[in-house]
Amino acid sequence: METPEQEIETAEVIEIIDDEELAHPALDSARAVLNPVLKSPLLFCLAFAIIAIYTFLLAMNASGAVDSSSFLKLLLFAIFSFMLGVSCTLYVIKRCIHHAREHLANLDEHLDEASDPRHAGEAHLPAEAAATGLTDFDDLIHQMRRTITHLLQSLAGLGDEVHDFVERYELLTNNLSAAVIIRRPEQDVMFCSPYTEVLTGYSLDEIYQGGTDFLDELVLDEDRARYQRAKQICELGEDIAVRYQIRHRSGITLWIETHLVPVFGEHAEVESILSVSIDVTTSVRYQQRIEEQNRDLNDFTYMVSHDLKAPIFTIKGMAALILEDFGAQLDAEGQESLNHIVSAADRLEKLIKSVIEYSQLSTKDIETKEIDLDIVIANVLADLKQQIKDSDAQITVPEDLPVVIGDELRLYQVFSNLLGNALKYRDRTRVPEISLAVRHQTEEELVVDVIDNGLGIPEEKIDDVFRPYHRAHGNEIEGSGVGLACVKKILDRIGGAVVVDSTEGTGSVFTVKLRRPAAQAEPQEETGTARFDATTPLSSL
Amino acid sequence: MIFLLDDDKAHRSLIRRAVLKAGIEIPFLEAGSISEAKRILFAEQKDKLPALSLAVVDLNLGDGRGTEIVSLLRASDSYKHIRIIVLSTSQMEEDVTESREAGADAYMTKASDLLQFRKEIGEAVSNWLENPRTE
Repeated sequence: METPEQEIETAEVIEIIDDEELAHPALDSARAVLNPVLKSPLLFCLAFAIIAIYTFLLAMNASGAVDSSSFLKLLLFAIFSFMLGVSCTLYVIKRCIHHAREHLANLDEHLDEASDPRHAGEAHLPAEAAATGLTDFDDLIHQMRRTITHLLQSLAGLGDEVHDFVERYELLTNNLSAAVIIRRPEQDVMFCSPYTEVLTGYSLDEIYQGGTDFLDELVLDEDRARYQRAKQICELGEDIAVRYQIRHRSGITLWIETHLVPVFGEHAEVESILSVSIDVTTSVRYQQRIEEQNRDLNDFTYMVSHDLKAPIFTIKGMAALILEDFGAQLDAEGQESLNHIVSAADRLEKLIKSVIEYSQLSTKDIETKEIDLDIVIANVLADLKQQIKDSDAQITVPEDLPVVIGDELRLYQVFSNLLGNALKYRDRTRVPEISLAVRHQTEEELVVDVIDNGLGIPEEKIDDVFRPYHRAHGNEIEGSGVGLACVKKILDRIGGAVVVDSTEGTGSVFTVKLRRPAAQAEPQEETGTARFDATTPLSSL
Repeated sequence: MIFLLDDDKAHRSLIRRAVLKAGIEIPFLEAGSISEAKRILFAEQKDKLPALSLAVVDLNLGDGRGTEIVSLLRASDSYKHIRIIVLSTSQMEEDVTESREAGADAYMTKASDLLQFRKEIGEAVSNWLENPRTE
């Protein structure tokens, strides 16, 4: 099998081994193994060939001087030497192949360990070759060269990626406005991002030295129990977020929000805890201010409902008494003046009522239940009877409206406002046509349109129609400016929605979406207070 | 006699005249503040205590809540049997609840329509005058 041609392939292996530019630990060990084996057959071969030729020449030279038997002995010795040299050479080449194979298997292992999985497919030796053993040394050398090249390429790529990753990681942790801390459930802080210095005012050295206890000490006493509870939950393996106050080194108090994430070890035990903390002081303060303003708004509403209504009661009552008792003594001008006072007081009263109504929608809870929309619409139409008659409007309403989720009074307000507006903002040059139509109905929701052929809403005002005190038609038509704002607010509160599509001069379509009983429950805070009509005698309740 | 507590003099006048116009002739005992009400109702000499059948009490007063007087009336041996109407401009449920808890028999809002108010207060006053508390 092994022929002198093997010398060429052996030379090829040597070429790879000798190539100084191909540097890798695996290749270095290959060199250590292959160098002596690959280079020694040449030396052996050469040495034995020289001995053989020398002996033969010596024999030829001495042929005249020695007898034929001595010449024959010398000739036999020369032939024997030559054959011994060839046999030794063949043996050494065999060893060389054996070592090369062993080393390839070794290289394959190196590749498994070192190469990136993404490059694994190309970099591995064909499994078949490894399993069956290599019969063709040429192929073997070729594979080896390719493998080494791929391996080195993969390693170079891997090196770049690791470098990029480290760079990104440093960029993130150094610039993140969050304190990233990794610590063991017991004591020590394993990692602490630079922002922790900003958040606490203490240096990283102090934090590393102080450990977990040092960090826990920063939490204000009033919040410590809550903070510790969150930590315990995380130590049991749950993610959790907690808000608490800490004392910054400067003495100021900061609101911190921390997300605690357990990091699991090999046996699913919580090995360490990763916490990401951010400063939420501004948003907490903002929230507190809003709550304060809501309280102020409630107080204001109460003030409006009592203090402003009291003088109106007086103005209207007294004006009515004067008209009743002294009306006959007043001339037409005097009576007209009194009527102006009464109507101004009426307007003021309505405005105050609408302010109260709107502000109460923001602050009061609405209890929702299943409501038959048919009944709501029937009530609305009954109460709008006079306006419908006065305007000669044609009203179309579907017969079987389904049950929806809401509050009867609030739903009444929604449709009373929408249908009332359709009548109020009618185009007086044509017969008002108003219809309520089901656009879409499923087990979970109902979408209805309230369609009119009225004045429509100017394009530039359409975005403001649901904002309080923004009136699309100014003061030429009476109104408080909160009707549609109330509609939107009510629908927001009961899990519905309203949108409008309108063309000035053609009419408007208000689309109302309501929840139906199959819909998922809207989170609403339950109130324990019973509701009762303000004018009902208490004893009858 | 009706005890009328309201810090607005014009309101007292309107209430008085409304009751009168409703056809109920009854004398009024008036107070404009909680402190004045306490002075009148809880005078030291027992014989000077007014004989009341009904109290009409405003809720928001300059020196406190009308419900304070409602509670005092209910806690007092002399007045615990009289009927009490809380009369306010407020329609807030909290006020209705507060009044009921203090012991009021009814809660009425000051309807700004004079005729409406006259009708309501007339009905309420005659109703409660005819039905004294029995317990």
